[in-house]
Amino acid sequence: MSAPPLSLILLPTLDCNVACDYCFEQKLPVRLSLADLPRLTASILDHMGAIGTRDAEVYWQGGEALLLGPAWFAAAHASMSAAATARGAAFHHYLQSNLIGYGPQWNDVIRTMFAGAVGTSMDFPNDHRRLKNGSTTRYTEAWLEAVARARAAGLDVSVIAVLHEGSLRAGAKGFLRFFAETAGIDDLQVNLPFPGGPGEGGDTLDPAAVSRFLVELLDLWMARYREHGFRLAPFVELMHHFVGRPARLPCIWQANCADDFVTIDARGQVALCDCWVTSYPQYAFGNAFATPDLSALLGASDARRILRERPARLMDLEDCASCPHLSLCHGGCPVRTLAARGTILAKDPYCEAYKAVFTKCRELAAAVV
Amino acid sequence: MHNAPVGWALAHPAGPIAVRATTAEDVVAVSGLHPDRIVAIEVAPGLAGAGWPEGVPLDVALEDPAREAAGLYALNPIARQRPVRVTIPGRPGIARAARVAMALQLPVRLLTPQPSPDVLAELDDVLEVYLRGAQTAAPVEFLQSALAWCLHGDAPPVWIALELDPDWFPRVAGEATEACAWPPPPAEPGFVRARLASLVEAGAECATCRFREWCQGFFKWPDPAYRCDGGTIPLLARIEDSAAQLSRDLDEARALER
Repeated sequence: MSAPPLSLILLPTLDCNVACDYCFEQKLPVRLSLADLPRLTASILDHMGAIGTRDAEVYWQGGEALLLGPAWFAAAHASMSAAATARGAAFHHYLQSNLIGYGPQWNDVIRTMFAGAVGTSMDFPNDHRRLKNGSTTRYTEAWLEAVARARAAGLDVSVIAVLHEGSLRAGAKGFLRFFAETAGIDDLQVNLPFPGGPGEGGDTLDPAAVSRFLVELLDLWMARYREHGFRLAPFVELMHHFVGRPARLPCIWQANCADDFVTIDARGQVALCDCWVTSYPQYAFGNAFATPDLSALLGASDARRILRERPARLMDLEDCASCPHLSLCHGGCPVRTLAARGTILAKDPYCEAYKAVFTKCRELAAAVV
Repeated sequence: MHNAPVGWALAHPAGPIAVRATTAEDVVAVSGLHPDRIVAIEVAPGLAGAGWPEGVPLDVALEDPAREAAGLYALNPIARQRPVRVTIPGRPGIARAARVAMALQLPVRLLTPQPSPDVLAELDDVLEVYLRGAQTAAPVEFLQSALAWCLHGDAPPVWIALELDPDWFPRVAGEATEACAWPPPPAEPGFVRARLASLVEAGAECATCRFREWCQGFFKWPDPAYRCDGGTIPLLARIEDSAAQLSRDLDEARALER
């Protein structure tokens, strides 16, 4: 019985080429150097050996990852692949980018390193994503152009959309129409906001309003989009779960995300995920350059211990243990909880919205079966 | 397969074994056993994360399920590296512990001989989650074997499903984790069959019980005067009803496919 893959989020830069006003990251002009990458890779491979896995899923994010340029990624890919192969291990790379800096120079590296797929982010309506000149309109235009070019080059483009007050006002119909028809994408994930870090406008939404929006979205997706192959996460995975198929639920609904995820930024700072690493430095696990033994670093971290204890603590502090959806949620996302409630020792502020979605998906799955 | 303390296992170096480990010293001692012999290691939750031989299954036996339920989350990373089962005694908190274990997709063994009315009420709750909760992906014994018996008629009897039949799982006396501290059946060949015969002869409920073939007097151990009609039979009747409904649903599904 081998351990599952390590889930590793790498932030090779904390710099960004846009100025979204709700971003939770503290931007810094730092970049991971190719000279430092081999020792970081060795630390990661040592840790993979210690936890008994040969595979790591590496999620490249930022800042804006594309600022490093395609040559940097090609060199990083070669360096990491050689190191992994020498140990009988493998890295599986995934890329998340705002795509504003995308051009055809990226196609080769996206095809070879990222299996021809790129994840990007956009909201509807776009009230918060801005170019450095402050324009949301021009941002949307630039993003749509980039998506069209990437798709024309044969790349698979998936999108993460963060809901905000404007999304709820616009309604599910306009929301889905923008992504499916205007952007032409067929793989969308809906995330819920949290007011972390220096950003403004990512306030925690009213769970009742979120519930209404998500249920409307779900109904519309089932009625008009699902049959045509439009993948809407996390609903598609929930449907798989409820019909008894293997499902890959998002990180917020893992049994304990702190058991599974590690993030390392360009400075070597280690934290739970990209939502924590710059926004909540008090929850950092340590620095991978200062402590190359990543397993020891993680094992000695009080912050990680506290985060890992959260689901168990919630069983005593909240009503989660008697919730019929416990196996799907486990108390939800710690960073959304911290941002909304000032503590991680409470259940996710979107608890009621999750329950509404779980119940609806279960009903729909029963009807499908 | 013997169920025995580590010391006995070391002194008897052949045959498969479920080894009971109760102390930190046992962690070291278990390393002296050939891993291929070890079917499972029965441990308290506090020892689950110890350095047991790689890949060997753990049977994590709770003592106080109400208190220990939340701590089952610590088994999540362990279950990624080796099979882990949770054994829960028939004490208050059994439903809470079973719910958490089921939510973590861990197999469960409910050790509930002669459950009290309070524990029976909790078992009803566990049964509801087991039968209808989307979270139930792993077996929950004895509910699983009871359902399979009602559906197919050829599932293992409860004594075997719970690994308590001394003919199949001879238990060697000695240190035990607290979950199994109720009087184990004596290690006599044919004990279950002989005891059931004596219960029937004495006119116990077993004589006319429709679940006798599966139960074989399990709920009459250790006290033969325990009244099954007050709780365990209604619980089994719910399983029987669910099995009947499931059979009807399967028949309907097959008819639709034709």
